[in-house]
Amino acid sequence: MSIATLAGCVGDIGGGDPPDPPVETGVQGETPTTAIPRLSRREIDRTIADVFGIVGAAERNLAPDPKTAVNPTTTAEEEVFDTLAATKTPSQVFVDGLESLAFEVARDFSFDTAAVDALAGCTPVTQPFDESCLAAFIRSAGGRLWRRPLSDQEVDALITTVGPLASDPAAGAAGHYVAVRGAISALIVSPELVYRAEIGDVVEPGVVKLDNHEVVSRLAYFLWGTTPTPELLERAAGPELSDEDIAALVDQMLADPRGVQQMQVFHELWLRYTSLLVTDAALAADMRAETDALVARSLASGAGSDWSQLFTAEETYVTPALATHYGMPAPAQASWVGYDETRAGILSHGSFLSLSQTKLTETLPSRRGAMVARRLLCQAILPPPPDVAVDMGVTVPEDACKSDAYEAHASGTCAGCHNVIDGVGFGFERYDGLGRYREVEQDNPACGIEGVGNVGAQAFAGPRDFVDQNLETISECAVEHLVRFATRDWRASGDRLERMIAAFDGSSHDFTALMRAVATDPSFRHRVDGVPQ
Amino acid sequence: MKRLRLSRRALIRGAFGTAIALPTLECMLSPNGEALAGGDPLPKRYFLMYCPTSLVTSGSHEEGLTPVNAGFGYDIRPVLQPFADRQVSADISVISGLFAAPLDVPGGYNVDYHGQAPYAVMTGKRSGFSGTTWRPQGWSADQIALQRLAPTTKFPFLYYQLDSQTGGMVVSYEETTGFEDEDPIVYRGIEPQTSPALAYNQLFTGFSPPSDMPDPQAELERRLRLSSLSYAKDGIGALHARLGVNDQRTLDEHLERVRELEKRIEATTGVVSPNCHDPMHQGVDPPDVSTDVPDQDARAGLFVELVELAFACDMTRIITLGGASVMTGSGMRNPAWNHIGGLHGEVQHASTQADLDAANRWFVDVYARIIERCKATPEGAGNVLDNTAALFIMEGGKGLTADPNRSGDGGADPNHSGDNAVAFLAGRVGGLAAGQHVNLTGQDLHPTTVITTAFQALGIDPSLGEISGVIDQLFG
Repeated sequence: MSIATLAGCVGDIGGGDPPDPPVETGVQGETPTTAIPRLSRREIDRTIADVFGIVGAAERNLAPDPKTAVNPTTTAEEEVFDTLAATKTPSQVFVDGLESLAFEVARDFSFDTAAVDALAGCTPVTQPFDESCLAAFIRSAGGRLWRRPLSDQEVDALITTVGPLASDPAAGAAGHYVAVRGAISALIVSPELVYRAEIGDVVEPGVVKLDNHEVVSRLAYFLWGTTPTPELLERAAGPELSDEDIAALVDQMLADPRGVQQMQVFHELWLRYTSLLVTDAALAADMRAETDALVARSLASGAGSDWSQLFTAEETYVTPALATHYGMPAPAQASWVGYDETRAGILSHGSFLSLSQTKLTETLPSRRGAMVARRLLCQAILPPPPDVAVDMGVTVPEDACKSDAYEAHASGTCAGCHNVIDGVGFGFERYDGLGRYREVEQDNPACGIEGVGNVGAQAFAGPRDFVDQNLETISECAVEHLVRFATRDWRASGDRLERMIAAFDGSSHDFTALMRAVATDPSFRHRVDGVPQ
Repeated sequence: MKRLRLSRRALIRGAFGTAIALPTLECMLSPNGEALAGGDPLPKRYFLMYCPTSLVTSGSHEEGLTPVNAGFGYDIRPVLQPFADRQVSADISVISGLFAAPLDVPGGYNVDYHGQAPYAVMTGKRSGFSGTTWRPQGWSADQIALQRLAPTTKFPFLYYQLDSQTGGMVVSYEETTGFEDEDPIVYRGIEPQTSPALAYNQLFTGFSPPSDMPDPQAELERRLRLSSLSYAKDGIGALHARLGVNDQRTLDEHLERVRELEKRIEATTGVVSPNCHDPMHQGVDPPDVSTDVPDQDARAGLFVELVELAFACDMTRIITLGGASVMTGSGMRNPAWNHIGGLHGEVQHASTQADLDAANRWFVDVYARIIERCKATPEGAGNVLDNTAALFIMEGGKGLTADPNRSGDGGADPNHSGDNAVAFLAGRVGGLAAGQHVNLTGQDLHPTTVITTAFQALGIDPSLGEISGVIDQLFG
């Protein structure tokens, strides 16, 4: 869909040159975003690992990004991606951690003098340090860390800053590598690493177009979760990237193993099945393997690929122990085993079914319903009225049936919300908090579980029924989440979302095609800037 | 204020190659041992531990914490057992019968218990009646203590959190400039340090006790760190000039943090207690015992030691130790109660009173360990605890009736109540008479009054937000 901006349609009528053609930015109607989105801890970790080969430095030194945050628009606490820009305030803890990270990486990498020389492409020949070799190192490492070439001024300033360290009495004969250590530390604590600047050029009022390096950086962090390779940076240093150039780069990057890995990361962050609340470590590992196998299968690209099998798959990958746990026929060894007629896809996995903050294995249908409604149907579950103690849960009197207690609870001011979330939750009620099938209530076996829920007016019973009826909504919701992940914003705009949904549908739910659509959309090269530069 | 004192530890290390604990040398102190030899008074310290629970679980009006007997030598209820086990009950006063009102009154909160009550208690300002909700309306107690004590220590203050979960509402707030869609002045939560490994790095990277013997390697590392930060500041300036107003504010804040870090690296560390030393922690946090279940005992042990040493080394005089962030973090998991579930939904709301008492006992034990360590850390003629006001504030108390004028969320749940709240105040600074149970039931004194009493003991203005005053019984 091509959209012309209003601004592009406004101009002088009459003589003079004809107005410039409208700029197709793809961001009309969108809200302003920051020009300095900060990398997440995961992205900093990957960047450091790619440049220096040191794994886990950010995890050791930086606090994790929040998993939830209060949306200022709705005042509701929402699950958020680690990329969300709004959660990244420059706290003292962050700045201290970044400096600590820089200290560790600089110390450890500079001790490996062969690795330093390899990255610089030279060996120092003068004492106390070799200025040209130090400059080569700064340009090489700095270019990767900052995702752009450093200016001569920036390089000279850094040499001036760290060069004297080489003459420090404690440096001894290792003066050059002490200067390198200082340079690494300075490059990491610089704002240019953690803030991925997107300043670009103004192409119409309030809209900027990213330059080549900014586009390549966006692509690399969206498609790979890490800094661009030297080859990509080299391409960015060339002529302005055309739409065709970008499409080719995207195809190339998605074909890389890092592209598949990033798609898995997105699914982990969206569905959160890595945080399964299962205390039996062996069982938890089997459940994780089950889900990993299905995600990998659903993300495969090419002929016959179909992402929707993540939800519709009629077989699952189980170990003998996990199959027995579920009450399925146990295979001789871990393998794909057919489901019965009620289960389907990931929504039948113990990993996912354990996520609704259950009390041991017992379910809390309201929480499970809210989780499914938010994550899979993209429904906004607003906070309850202030006079409702939402975290009390629903008290089930002794000898009463759970469903009756919930029904009684869903009245008065509670009705509006509970009719939505309980309806969804009770549709999964025949599965306990560890994914096992049951037909009577755990705390009161005299109470049968009907296992029927509803989404709106539509009733469903169990995961397969839910997916059969809601697959279109689920896939649209996946698109919405992916766009949030990519844009680092709270919400995706309607127009952009429609374009992505159309692309996903048009590809018969090939997730790689969806990633390509997001990255090649005109909006991916533009940013709304609400405040004049 | 930089103090260079003779370090016996350094001398002994130089002589024998090992470090051992030593008594304070007389030359470090004034003749009566109540001040430093240079005439500086011994430091006064503020400590607050925040416990993210109430006294009772949903539906219960009984609890196992509040002593029955008032006065000195109070009875040790089950939740207070760590006081007896660690022999610190005579060092800690228990204050009960406190009351924060769910009303538009000084220090009150607006209905939503979790959203507003902690803000009200920690700031002393009513919360949720005007301005942006879900925001504190003033500085938190530790920041006010910082402003009034104005220490010149390496770290103005420290804010740690026992649980590793981030997000949610915190208990330390600072004033900042609002973005363009906000009020000009707003208060935001300060991010706590949740990693004991990072907290250790922060305190002890480049650490060496003051010594007459220079440490060339430490000096080189100090130069390295400062030169990096100097370059970063220049980079911030260059980027700043190319940005819009909101982004410039982000970088302004970043720059302020860099400058703060720079000051700390430049500062020297004073040695007040002979216990001051580098504890040589490992550089990694204790691994989770299972998915998303941190090894809370191990984490707490490290934080306890760091609190003690930060005081013993006079690196800071103000520390806040959060248990878990309110709301999100209150799902805190702990091997001690993981069989029940998360701390908030399962333990507090859906379990038994005995289970909640056990969880509360875990937090009380962490506090008791800190008091025990401070008491065992010599300073001057006494110990660190003698010069400290150490608070323990709980998120809630217990409602006794479904009274919307006394309990939050409409009064229906005794758990959601700032009524009948309990707090602890340990230490003897400023004449505090520790070791008593002061029952204030019926007086409707705000929990923040315990904080302002600690302020009084520290010799600073006993007011916080809209709350002022002193609980006289807590002084001898």
